[in-house]
Amino acid sequence: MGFSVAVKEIMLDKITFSAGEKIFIEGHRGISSYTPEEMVVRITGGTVVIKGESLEISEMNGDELSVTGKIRAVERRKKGEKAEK
Amino acid sequence: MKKLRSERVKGNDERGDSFEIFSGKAEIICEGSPAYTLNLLTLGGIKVRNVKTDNDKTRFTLTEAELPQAEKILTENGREYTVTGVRGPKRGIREFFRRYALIAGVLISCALVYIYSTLVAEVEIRGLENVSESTVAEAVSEYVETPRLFAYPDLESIEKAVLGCDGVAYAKVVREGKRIIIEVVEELPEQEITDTQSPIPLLARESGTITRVVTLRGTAAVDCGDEVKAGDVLIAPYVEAGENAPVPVRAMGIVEARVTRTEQLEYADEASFTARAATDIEARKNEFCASLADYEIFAGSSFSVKKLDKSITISIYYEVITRIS
Repeated sequence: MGFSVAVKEIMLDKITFSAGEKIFIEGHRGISSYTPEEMVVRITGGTVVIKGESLEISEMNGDELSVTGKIRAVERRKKGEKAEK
Repeated sequence: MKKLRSERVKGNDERGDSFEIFSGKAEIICEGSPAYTLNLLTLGGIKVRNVKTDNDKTRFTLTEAELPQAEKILTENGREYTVTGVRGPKRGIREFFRRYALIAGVLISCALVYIYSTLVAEVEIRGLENVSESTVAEAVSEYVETPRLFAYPDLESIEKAVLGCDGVAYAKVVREGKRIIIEVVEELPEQEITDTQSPIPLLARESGTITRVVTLRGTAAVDCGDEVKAGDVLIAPYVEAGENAPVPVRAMGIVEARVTRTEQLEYADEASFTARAATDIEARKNEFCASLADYEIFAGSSFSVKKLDKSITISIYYEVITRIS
């Protein structure tokens, strides 16, 4: 993809998923776990699980997080909710 | 805890508060849970970039300015890390911009201020009303040209030049910044002070016999036919006011009189007298008549001859009716 277009938004503009290779999260609460294949990001009221390959954090500060890589799935889990099998 | 600092380029930024625009990038490899490490740094205000994780090692970059703070956070929380490289402008360049550029800037500013102070951009002339500005400007132009850099005009010479202009009584020349200011005080125009109020009588300028009196203000002191001498009062400086005291006024009027003017011709011997006397008398008479003013009337002439030891003298008497007031 030579260009970046927002195709899906989750949680009231807090998360922007762009063209399958970039995701931008605004207002995160930290990272729970991070591997090249899966990343769990805490957000208000739950977590966001990003699955894919070669996941990299291109930029991160106390409020914003930008992840790049081959993103295959983005899953939002509410607090107390377990992962789907 | 093993703290690896072998690749740390010491002295690159000891203060840690360097200017952002000159900041390079520092790359760090940190061991342990990447999530924990990243949370520590981001909560401490650090912005991390290009984060990659591999087998419990996390590699990321941050700005060189943030490096001391990042190191402090990692150290305080017992994280093992390595600063693998610091990329950015060379120290010499940064030092130059920090110090020498500042000094150079100050020096250049001083030089510009000095050069600017030598500039004479204009000459301003103040206080002119009657004297032409171009006259003063022309006098000044010999000593100062505008606009001109490195100009050191002699203010005293300019002042003298301005004082040399007609109608200038005083001149002051000052230099204010890039302007030469010439303040001029002009000479006051000559004023004839005429007093028409004081009670002054009208006096006779010449001796003669009064022929006409016209009183415009005051009281006539002479009548037609009166003989007057030079300095006699012709019109008195008051006006009768019935039973009240006379009112003093400035006497004014026209008084004419028959006056006699004389002229003498002298001859060295009788021969020249005989040869030239008649011609000379006629010529003098014509000349006298031609010299009379419009209001003067030629009333006749006579002459007498007086023979002395060494010469012969002719006295010519001209009768003229003229104003003596």
